[in-house]
This record gives sequence, C-alpha cells and structure tokens, in this order.
Amino acid sequence: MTSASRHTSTSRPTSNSRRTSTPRVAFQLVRNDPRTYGISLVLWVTFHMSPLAVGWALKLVFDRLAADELSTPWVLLAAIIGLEVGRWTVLLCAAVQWHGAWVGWQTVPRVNMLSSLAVEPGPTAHRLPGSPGEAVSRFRDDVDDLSLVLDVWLDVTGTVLAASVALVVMASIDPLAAAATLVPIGLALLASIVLGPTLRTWRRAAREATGTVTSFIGDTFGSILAVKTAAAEAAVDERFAELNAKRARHARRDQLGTELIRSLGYGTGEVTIGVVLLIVAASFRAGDLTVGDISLFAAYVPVVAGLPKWIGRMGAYHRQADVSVDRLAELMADRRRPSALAPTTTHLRHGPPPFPPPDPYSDRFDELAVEGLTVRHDSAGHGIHDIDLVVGAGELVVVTGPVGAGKSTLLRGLLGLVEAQAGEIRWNGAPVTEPSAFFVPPRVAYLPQVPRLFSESLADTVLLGLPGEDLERALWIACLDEDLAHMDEGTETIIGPRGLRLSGGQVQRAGAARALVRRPQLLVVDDLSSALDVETEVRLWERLRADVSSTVLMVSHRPHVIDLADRLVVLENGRRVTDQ
Amino acid sequence: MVCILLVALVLRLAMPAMLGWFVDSAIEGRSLSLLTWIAVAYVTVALVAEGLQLIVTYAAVDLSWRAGNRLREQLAHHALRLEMGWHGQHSPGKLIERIDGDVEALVTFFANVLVHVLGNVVLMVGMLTVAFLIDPWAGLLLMLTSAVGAAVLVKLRSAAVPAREAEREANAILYGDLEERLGGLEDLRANGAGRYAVHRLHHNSARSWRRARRASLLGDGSYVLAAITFAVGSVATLALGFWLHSAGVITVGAVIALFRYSEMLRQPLERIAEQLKEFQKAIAGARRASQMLTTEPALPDGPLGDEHLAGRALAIDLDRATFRYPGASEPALVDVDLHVAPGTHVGVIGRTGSGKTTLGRLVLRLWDTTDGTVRVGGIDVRELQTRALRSRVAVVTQDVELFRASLRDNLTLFGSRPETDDRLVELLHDVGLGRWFAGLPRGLDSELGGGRGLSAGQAQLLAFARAFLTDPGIVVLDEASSRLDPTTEAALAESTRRLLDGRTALIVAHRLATLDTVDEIVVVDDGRIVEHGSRLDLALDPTSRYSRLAQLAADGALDEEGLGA
Repeated sequence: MTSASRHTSTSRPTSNSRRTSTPRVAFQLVRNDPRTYGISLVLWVTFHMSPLAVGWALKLVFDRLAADELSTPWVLLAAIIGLEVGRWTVLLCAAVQWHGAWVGWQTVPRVNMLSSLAVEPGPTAHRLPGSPGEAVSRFRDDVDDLSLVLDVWLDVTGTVLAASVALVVMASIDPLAAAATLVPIGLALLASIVLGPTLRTWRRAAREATGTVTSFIGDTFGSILAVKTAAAEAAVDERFAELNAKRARHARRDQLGTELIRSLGYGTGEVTIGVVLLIVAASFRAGDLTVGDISLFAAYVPVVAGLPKWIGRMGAYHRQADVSVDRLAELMADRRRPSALAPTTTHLRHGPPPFPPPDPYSDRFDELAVEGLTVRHDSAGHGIHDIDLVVGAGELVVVTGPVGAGKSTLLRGLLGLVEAQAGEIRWNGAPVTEPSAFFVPPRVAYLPQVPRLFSESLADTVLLGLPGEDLERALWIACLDEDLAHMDEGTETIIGPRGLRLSGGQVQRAGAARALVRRPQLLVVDDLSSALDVETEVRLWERLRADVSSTVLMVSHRPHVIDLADRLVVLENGRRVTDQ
Repeated sequence: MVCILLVALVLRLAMPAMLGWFVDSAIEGRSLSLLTWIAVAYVTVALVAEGLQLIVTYAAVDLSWRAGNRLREQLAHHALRLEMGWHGQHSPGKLIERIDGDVEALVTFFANVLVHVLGNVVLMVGMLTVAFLIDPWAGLLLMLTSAVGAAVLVKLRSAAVPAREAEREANAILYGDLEERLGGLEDLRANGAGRYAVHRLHHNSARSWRRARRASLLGDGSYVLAAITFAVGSVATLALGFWLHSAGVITVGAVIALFRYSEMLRQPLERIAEQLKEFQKAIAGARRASQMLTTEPALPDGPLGDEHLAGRALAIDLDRATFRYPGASEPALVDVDLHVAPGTHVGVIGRTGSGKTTLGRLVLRLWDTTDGTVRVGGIDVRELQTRALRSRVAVVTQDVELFRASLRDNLTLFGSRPETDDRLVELLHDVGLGRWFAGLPRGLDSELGGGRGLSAGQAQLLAFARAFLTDPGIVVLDEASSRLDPTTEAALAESTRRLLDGRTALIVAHRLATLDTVDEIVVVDDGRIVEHGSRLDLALDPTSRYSRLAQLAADGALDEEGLGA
C-alpha cells in the first residue's frame, strides 16, 4: 500500500562520486552551436597568428638595415602597416562576434538550470542553495566560470598554433635557441600543477564568501520592511561589514594565486629573450646570425612564451570551472546531471518566438485519493506521517489543525513540491508517479499561504504567460475588481518587488487570481483567508462557489469554512487524528 | 610601494637599451664575455622586474578591496535608509547588482588602475625621455604617436560609455528577474508557469546579446583604432631609424632599441586598454553608485532623539492626515483625524485595502503623509530621529520576514536588540514556540529562512517574540494572529496581554474575536474613518457598523470562536 520505490532513485549522490568533468561539459556547450564557435575559432586563431607575419617582415627590414642599405624599404614598411591594420580589424570582428557567443554560452546552462528548477519534474525544495540571491550568483558567477573555459580554448588553440609555427621557424635558424624557449613552458606547467589544488580551495572559499555577501544583500533588501520597522539598519550595517571583511580576506588570497600564474606567463617572455641572447651570443658575434634573426627571435619568443600563460590560464580556468560545474549540477534535478547542458536553442539574434497558449485539456476530474503519504522534513522528525485523504469532484475538503501540525507540508507533499518518502496518490483511479509534473494546470492550481508576486504589471504577474481572456473573470472572483478601480493603470499597474506596494490581503487575492485564471479542476489553497477581512472573504467564497469548477482542497482554521466542508482532515503533530 | 613600482619600471626601461647594446657590441666585435654578461644581466633584470610587479599587484589588490568594501558598505548603508517608495522600485536582485556587481567592476578597476594604468603612464614618460636622449627627432615622433593614440582613446572611450551602461542595465534586469523567479519557484511550478519563466529568460538574454555586441563594437573599436595608430607610429619610427642610421647619426642597436620602445609604447596601451573595458564598466558603475548615494532620503531624519519619547505608553495623533501611495490614483487615507490617548488599545477594522495597514505604516513613518501630520508622543514624527521613533514602536505584521541567519540573529535582528540567550529561550517558550525550539538540534544557532522548518504560523509567533525584545511605547499588531489557529492564538493571548499592558496599541484585525479586549474601535472604509468610539458604546448601539459586523459574526456563518465551538 505504501510504495516507497518511486523515491529511491532520488537519493543524492555526493559531489565527488559523480563529478561531471569540466572539459566534457564545456564541449557539450561547444556542440550546442558549433557554427558560432567555429567562427570565433577562425577569427581568434587568425589574430594570434598575425604577429608572426609582422615579425617576419620586420626581420627583412632589419637585415636591410644591418646591410647598410641606404634606400628606405618603403614597400616593406607599407606591407607592415597593411598587416597591422588587417590584424586589428580581425580583432574587432573577433571581439564583437565573441561578445555574442559569450552570451550564448551563458544562456545555455541558464536555460537548462531554470528549466530544471521550474519545469522539469521532481521537488525543488532544498535544491536551491541558500537564498535566491545566492542562486543568482550561481546563474552569474559560476556560469561565467564555465564560459571562461570555452573562451580560453579559443586562445589556447590560437597560441598553440602560432607557437608551433614560431618554433619551427626559429628552429630553422638556431635549433638550440628554439629548444631553449621550451624551458619556460615546462616550468610554468610544473608550477600550475604544484599550485593547482591549493588554488582550487582558495577559489572555492572566495566564491562561498561572495555567495554569502550577495545573499545577505538580497535577503536584507527582500525583507526591508522588517529591517526598517525594527530600526535594525545599524546592526545590518555591522553584519554586512563583517561578511565583507571575511570575503576580502579570501578574495585577496585567491587573487594572489591567480596573479602568480599570470606572472609566470608574462615574466617568462623577457627572461626567455635573455636566455636566447645567451645561447646565440657566440654565433651572432661570429656573423652566423644576422640582426634580422635577432629581431625575429625578439618577435617570436613572446609568441612562444605566451603559451604557458594561456596553458596556465586554461588550467586555472578549468579548476575554477570544476568548482562551478559541481555547483551548477547541484541546482539540477539529479536525474539530469549527466546532461546538465542539454542542447538548447538560444534565440539570441531574433529573440524567442511568441509564448504559445496552453494545450487544451479534456480529461474530467473525478476523484483524488492519497494513501499513506509521509514527508519527513528533517532529523527532528517534523513532517507528516501516513496520511490518507480523498477529494471527490465538486467537494470542499478542509485540512485543519494547530500551528506546526503539518498542514502546509501535506499540501506541498501532495503537489510534489517537497519530496515524499512514502505514499500513493491516485487521480481518477490511476496512480500518479510524478506529482510535481502531474499536478499542474489545468488539472490543479495552487495558492500558497504567502504568494510571491513579481515586479511587473498586475496582469503579467497573474497571467504568467497565459493569454488574457480570462483575466477579468479571475480578478473578479478574487475580489480584486474594486482594488483595480483605485489603480492608475488598471491591470497594467506595475507592482513593486514581490508585490510590496499591495497590502497583504491584496497579495493573497492576486495569488488567488493567478490560480483561478488557470481554470483548474482542483484548486489547492493554503489558508486563503488568513489575510482577508470577513466581508471580503464571504464575497470571495460566494463568487468562487458560483463559478463552474470548484473542487477545493484547502487549509483553514475558520469555523465557517470547516462547517461548509464536505470532508475534514484534522492534523496534529503530523498525523491525522479524526475523520469527518 | 610607489618606490617598488618605480624600480620595477626603471628595470623594464633598461631592457630595450640592453638589447640594443648587445647588438651593437656584437657588430663592433666586442668580447664574447661582454655579450654573455649583457645576456645574463638581461635575464636577471627581467626576473627581478616580475617579482617586484607581483608585490605591487598584491598591495593594489589589498587596497582595492578595502576601498571597494567601504563603498559597498556605504551603498548598503544609504540604501537601507531610503524610503519604502524607493525600495518599491528597486528589487533586491537589482540591488545585488548595484551594491555588489557595480562595485566589483570598480574594485577590479582599482586593482588594475594603480598597477597597470598609472605604472604604464610613468613607463611611457620614461620611454619618451630615453628616446629623446637617443635622438630628439625620434623622441618627438614617439611623443606624437602617443598623443594621437591617447586622443583616439579618450575621444572614442566616452562614446562607448552609454553602450556599456545599457549592457549592464540589461544584465541587471536579467539577474533581477532571475532572482525573483527563483524566489517564487513553487508558485511558478505549481501554477504551471515555469515555461513562461524560461521564456522570459530567453527574452532577457536576447536583449543582453544585442547590447553586449553593440557595446563591444564601440568599446573595442576605440581600442583597435588606437592600436592601429600606435602600429603606424612604430613603422614611422622604423623609417626614421633607417634614415638616421644611413645618415650615420645612430647605430643599428639604437634603431632596435628605438623600435622596441615604440612597440613597448603599445604594451602599456594594451594593458591600459585591457583595463579599458573594466574602466568603462567602472565608470558606468561609479555613475550609478553616485546616483544612488546622491538620492536624498525622501524621509529625512528629524533632530529629536529618544529622550523625547519617554514614558511607557505614547499617544498617537493623526491630524487631517491624507496619504497617497506613489503611482496610485486614489489616496489610501483621506483627511484622517485620529487621537489615541497613551495606554489606550484601539481595534482597527475595515475591508482589505481600506487603509488599515497604511495607518500603522504612517505611525512608524515608513511613509510621510501627503497632507496633514502624524504625531507620536505629541511630537510630529518628522521631527524625530527615525531610529528613535522605531525603537519605541513595535510592529507585528501578517507577513513575517525571516532572514537566512541564525535563530538568534532573527530574534535580535542581527544584535540590534541584544539579549541573553536564556532570556531568548524563555521568550520562545512564552510565545508558544517551546516545543518547536526543543526540536532544533543547534538551538539558537539553527539557521532559519527560506521556509526551512518553520510554518507561516510559527513565523508569526517568532515575530511576537521579536516585539517582546523592545520596550515599545506603541504596539502595532497588523493582522498579527491571522495565520494562527484559534488554539494557538488563545495560548498566545496571555503573552499578548503582557506585551500590551500599559502600552498604547493599534490592533488591525479582521477577526472580531481578536478585539474583545480593546478599549476603542475604529472602522476604516475607503481611506476614511467612518466610525470611532468606545467598543462598549458601539457594541450597544445597534446602528453602528461595528455591532452590525459583530452580529454578522455571531450569526454563525462567521463564527469566530475556537475550533471546537
């Protein structure tokens, strides 16, 4: 009777056991739009190779200079100018194209994560790390870190090709000197291997400290009313300063590590030129090497010496991204981990196509039956245990009980918003295996105790993408018609962040309208009347009952609501105590 | 630090000259040991220069974090003190971008401006000087190149700033929208609106894409033009060197050194330009930061401190108070005259949206009246320090806002109402959260927020506990028990009585049973006070609105007695 099996697959693997490798994830991103990436690659490789041509032309110039030729080589100099102009033009094209590609790389994981969180089946509770503010830092910073890997691959490809050509050319002049330029690469790579793990921990600590700061900002300003009414501004200032100081400590250390790697790259260029001079001193003095050759070395050595910088950077970015890929995977439903970056159309150039209207739905609601539903919240044993419940078509079923009895948990467990450890749910007799995907409009709509409104027009926050034909009806049932009369721009009035400019009752009624506009067969309500006055509540009930589809499952303490109930579910300490 | 920076620069400056010296020595057939010595010196100088650079960078990073954090704290400090109307227009997600994202751009810029930009400017001056010493004409030519290059940069950079700003604005919208949607995930999921959230993300990303490319075209375009200018300068230097050498004025080594300088001239430029992007971001960020800092609070602090609000209970007086929310066409309160004597308990009833909540907000001075005055303890609230006022007015609202912080921090609001742990635990028991608290493994250190293990009703009890931590002269209970079941509410009654005892209270409620003990009743309708009198008088007067509502409740449909009644 209780089937726990459907939840066994969702036990969370530790982050170590199934780490998706960064290169694989990044390559998935490349494959998502190979054309854009290909264009980027061609442009950047061309740009990285261009100094070689300039360096060769310069060698010719210096050879003529040392040969004491009197006529200025105008054609050569003009060719150099031409090369330079071409080189920088390529850079501009590459940069503009890259900025578009960059947004594309970010959009793919973002769309995937948001889809996974908001659309895909499976409970989302506990998948979001900390606050929405911290989650945003994942959508921003961690996605940036992943994109940097794709970016650095462009540069590494360009540098490796350019360095290879440079090495071959230099080797044809002086093999020993050419070989000497390889020394810094080895040293830089060695350094990055040795420092790698330490840098990775530093990076993670810095990121975490950053996440704490951003979520603190988000939380504080999300709860600005509480801060203000309590005159807690000074205390918030102080706490913010503490968190900032901690973050600065971690960030400084992290940046020092990054700078060390960078320095290994830049510094080796000049050092290597010195080493080359040391090696060629004898043959240059003997006249085996020309001044042009020296100039060529001076131009090509930086190209080769750039290699460790980029490879070091690639290593660092990969390590950064390892952390980020893990953190991104945590946001995804576990089953989607392997395909955290499913192919995605980004719609960047022309914007997304118009949002389609919902599919029509014909299935008629008959009965909802729940058996043995169990949700364990935490180790302290809060939650609900073994709850049975039936809702028939046209009925009003009321869940009631004292504070903390598990009323909201029952609704959320039923809807699949939190993970149930056991229980069977049947809709019209058929078992529901994935409640989070099944209990959505037009089957079920949900009105939480404290609805979240978004900073947009009232119409938008109620409709959330639906066509507007039902809006007026829904607003009317929700008793928002009179409030609307007082709004400057009617349903187009922008309501502040989280509906700040609406009263508590108005927020709840807007939430009700949001559920009603979806014409659900079953309306699930978590304490509708808690923020409503007597008259409004009565009116809302009358209007709701007069409306066609009114099967309602709701949490309430109101005696008159309980009186109306066709069935009653009384909870205490997470267990059902009485029947009807 | 400046000394170290200068030494590093001088070392860099020496290197092209050493290369020229090496070439000349070889051509002139000097000894191999001299050549070797120059090469060794070259390597040493390069190593030392890099080491010094590292030290300077670290120092700059350190400095920039200090400065950045100070700015972050200033911005947060200022924003916290701006009025609710301002916050109505700035979502938390946007503020994260303002306080952290923008400052981050500034910090990055700070870290680099000292090391790369400032250092490189000095380096350029040094190189020009050396070039002059080699040959005045060459020096002049390099100077000209730098001047033109710099002019190109300055001229075009300013053209790119608005585009950069538009790009950041697009990103701020994108992140702000994401933050709100992530906060309302359950609302989205259970109402089948997840796909629409994804649609919006697509829409916002497409805007970012357009703006990023446009900003790049303008920003990187200026960099590229300047780079071409410098390339032309280098080639011109080469041509000049050719001519000077053939005239016998300078050696081959000197031409090489000059050319290296002309190329090195581009290096600082590249470093500066690398920072240019940051610079543009930083300017855009700084502009918005200063915009925020110069936003004057619409509710400036008054001069009077809490010594003017002495006494256990304080009077509330509203004189012809009218208030209209920004953007609303109708005022929320019209011509309200309300006088509450110290110690009086007043029940406020009326339909949702009638202005009950606004009444409390005016007393707290979350808003200023559009017309008329609000006095607390006989003093116009505009004359009072906001902090003093709010420390004497306690509020419990229907929507309790919890912080993702420890239970202790949530109670004391980050220590703004310091209290011993024992007293806090006692308070939790008083308000009926004892059993819940006993189940917390980490006690007062347990992390709260995000709906973790706390129902809306329990959150409301927590808000009561918060109120007990102050010594309020006025208590505003705004639907404070709306999320409590009657049993819990009854259990809380004793504590509430103690909280209200001897204090002035404004109790907004739609459950009349909650108001059984108040002294006076105020009925609000459509922003006006339509009835105000002693509760007993109104109850006895069958024509009063209050008695009619009470009758309605008594008729059974709205039975407000306990669960078992």
